[in-house]
Formats: sequence, C-alpha cells, structure tokens
Amino acid sequence: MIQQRLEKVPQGWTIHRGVESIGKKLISGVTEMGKMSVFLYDAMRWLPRKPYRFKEIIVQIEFVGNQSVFIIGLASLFTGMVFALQIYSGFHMVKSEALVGPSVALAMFRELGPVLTGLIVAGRAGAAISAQIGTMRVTEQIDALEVMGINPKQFLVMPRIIASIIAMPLLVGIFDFVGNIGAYFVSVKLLQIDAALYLAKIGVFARPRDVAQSLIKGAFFGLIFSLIGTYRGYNTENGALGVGKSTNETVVLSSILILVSDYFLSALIKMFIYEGF
Amino acid sequence: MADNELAVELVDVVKKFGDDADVLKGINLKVPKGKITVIIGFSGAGKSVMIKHILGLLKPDSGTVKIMGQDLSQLSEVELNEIRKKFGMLFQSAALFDDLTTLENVCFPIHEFKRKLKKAEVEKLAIQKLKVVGLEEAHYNKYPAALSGGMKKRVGLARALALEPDILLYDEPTTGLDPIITEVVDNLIVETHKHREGLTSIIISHDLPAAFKIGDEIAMLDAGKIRLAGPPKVFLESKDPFIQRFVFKAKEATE
Repeated sequence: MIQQRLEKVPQGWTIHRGVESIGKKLISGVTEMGKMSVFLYDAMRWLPRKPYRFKEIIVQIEFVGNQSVFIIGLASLFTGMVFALQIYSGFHMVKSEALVGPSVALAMFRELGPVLTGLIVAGRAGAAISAQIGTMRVTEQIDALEVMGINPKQFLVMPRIIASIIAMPLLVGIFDFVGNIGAYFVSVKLLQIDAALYLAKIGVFARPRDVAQSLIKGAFFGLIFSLIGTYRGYNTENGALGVGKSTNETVVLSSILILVSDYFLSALIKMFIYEGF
Repeated sequence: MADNELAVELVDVVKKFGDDADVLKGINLKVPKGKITVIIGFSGAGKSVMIKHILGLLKPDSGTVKIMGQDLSQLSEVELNEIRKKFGMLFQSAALFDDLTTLENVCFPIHEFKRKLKKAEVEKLAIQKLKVVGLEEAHYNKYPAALSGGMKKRVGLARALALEPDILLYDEPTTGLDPIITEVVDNLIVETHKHREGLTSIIISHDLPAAFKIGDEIAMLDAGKIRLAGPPKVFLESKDPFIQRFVFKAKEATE
C-alpha cells in the first residue's frame, strides 16, 4: 500500500520539497536576525541621547536582577550539591576525591553558572519582558507613547536590554558562589573530604579567567533574552493570542540561542582568553 | 482657506501595504484651526491609517502631510517628536498605562516634558486636567483596571490635555459605550474644545448623529478617499445618493 503511494509521487518531489522547506526556514531565520540587529541598533542609539533613562534602567535591573536572586540562589545551591554528590563516586574510585572541588568550580564557572542562569532568567524575566511589551503594543500603550513624542525604543526597549546585560553577570556570580557553597557543604560536611585540601585544589585549578568567562557569557546571554523578549513583544499582533505567542517564542528561541551560542562563545573565549591572540 | 489657517493638510496621500490594494487612494483633506472636524468613515475605510499619517507614525507612499504648515516628510525623527508634542490623543481603548494610577497616568507626560517641575507642581497640573474632564477625586489613586469605560475615556482625555496640545485627536471616542455615556463623552468633547481657545479637535468616528451634533466640519472617508468635506449643511444639501443615505441614517438615529 505504502509502496503504491510512493510510486505515485513524482520523482524528486520529496527532495525538492525538503530542500525548499529548509531554504525557506533559513532565509526567514536570516531575515529575522537582520531585523533584530536593526532593532537593537535602533534601541541602543538612544542610550547616549537625552532624556537619559537611568531611572528606567535601575527599575529594570531590580526586576531582572533582584527579583531573580531567590530562584537563582535556590537553583544553584541544589545544582552544586547534586553535582558534587554525583561526581564524588567517580573520583572516589580513583582515590582523587579532592578533585571534586575544582571539578565543580570549573564546571560552575565555565558552563553551568552562565548557561543555567541564562535559561532560568530567560524563562522568568525574558518571558515577562515580552508579555509586558506585547500587552502594551496590543492595547495601544506604545502608540500612546509615540503620540506623546516619547520614543518607545528609548523608554521601553533600551533600558531592558542594558539592565539585562548588567544584571546577568551579577546573577551568574551569585549562581557560581552559591553553587560552590552547596558543593562544599556536600563534599566536606557529608562526604568528609578534607576542607583545606578541597579549597586548595580549587585554588590550583580555577583561575580568574574562568570567572571572567562566566561573567562574559552571562552578559551575552542577558543580551540574547532581552533582545528577543523586547523584539517579539514590540512586534506583537492579534491581541491576547499574539501576546501568548510572543512570550512562548521568546522563551523557546532564547533557550535555543543560549545553548547554541554557548558553544561558539566558548570557542571564542578559548581562542582569545585562554590561548591568547 | 489660507495655509496658516490650517492645522492639518493632506495632499494626494496614497498608502498601500505590501501587495494589498491601496488603503488610502489619494486623500485630500484640510482641517481648519480652532474647529471641531469629524472624520466619518465605516469600518475598513482607512480611518486608522489616515490618523497614523497625521501623527507621522506612517509615511505616505506619495503625497504630503502638513501639520501647522510643516511638511512631515521633511522632518528628522527628533523634529517629528517635537511636532507630536502639539498633539493630544484620546485612543479608542484610552490606552492608559496599566501600571500607573489615574493621577500618575496624567502626571506622566507632564513629568516627561517638564522635568524641572517638582512632584507637587506636576500633580497640581494633573489634578487641574482631571477636574476639566470631571473625574472625581475618589478615583485618582485607582488603577485603570478598576475604572469603568467612561472613566477611562475621561482619564485618557485628561492625559491628552496634559501638555496643552494645539490639536486634539479622538479615535472612535464613543465606540463600545452605552448611549448615556456616549452623550456624556460627546458633551465632554464640546466642553473641552470650548475650554481651550484655539484648540483644533479632530474626531475619527462612525457615529453619524454625533458628527452632525458636534462637528463644525465633517469629512466623509469612503474606500480610501474623501467623498465629501465641509460644514454639516454641505452634507444636508448634497445630491450624492451615498451621502443622502448617510444623512438619512443620521436623522433616523436622532429621532
């Protein structure tokens, strides 16, 4: 039956459609990236212009940063604890328990800290940014700003992007610190690894450049979710349904881009910070 | 009518979106200063697109839009923002900021553009505007979600008046309101107009009786073109069957 149906399909049809579909998605993706870049430029060029939006930036830092501290602290504490618990058994087999500390620290600094913070804050603040601006768009509040002669990109978009870029490294710092505290507690208090050795080994293997990597990635991921959130929100159409769609797309696209860009960012950091120019 | 007597002038304005047919097909409209002009049009006639052109939010494919004699196409983004300060607008949905109270909504534009004023002075000005539109003090600290449709319109109008605009735009001000509140809003428009000397009011509406009741000038927008424009008597005397039908409907609704 299936064979008969397949025979009716013109030769090359499936491949043709497949290539066409991939091509369309690729073109649409590149076009969207281009539009987003223009949107980012449009928003950021208002940064040095009067009236300066310091108050709005501070309010957004409070929203993106301060209001995420509890969830980031909780997530990082348990991430550090479970990570230490899991790798302890492996190191125990080769009598290298002291390496639990630096392993957790390096993983936290280089990957877990920025990536998990990025994903969590994209889900919390990125979605909220998109929903808030999207709602303002569909209820004509953005039009009202424009009619008053207030540039909405300067008033709404730029402060959120700047705030996310500032707040994210701070949150990543908290994640790294609390995660390592969690790992220390499990390793030293529960698994009886020598505290001095644990800390000394972290000092040997983890370098300031690892912390720098963590913070740079955090700032970049902040840019990703805030740009996607503001862009999707700003271009929301079709009422409440559109707001839901924008919010959903913000979380999905931000998460994917954070994970994909993490690889390329790691490669670049390795090239420029670890191996030198 | 001389150029300096016009608040808004649209000359051969054409606009289309993508591959769709033209939304505006060569609009010619003169809005005199200091009068109430009602632009009547049915759904899909191009009213919203036209209003966005007047505000400089959309650029025409061809033709010119002049505000107080200034051609918008010749202005930079900063100059356009300056021109927009001449406008106040009451949106169909009132478009109040959800996270601000009634008083804060009216304070917002004053605070934005008169940064040297102290908070108490800004609030004093805002309260003056809220009094002009007849909103009671008990509602000043309520958020928009707690206000009725009519109250939202009043707050929206107070906010539109906050910066003492030269031109006040009303986008479908009575749509979705019951007949009693509609009459209240219509009276409010007339009172607000009288309250400020030299104010030009432009009302976009499909409320036919209101157009005759409050309009000094009426313009009929039909399928992307101005079909007829002038004082109400021009409409009453028109031999155009389409206009006659419109006048008949308006009379029928008032009786």
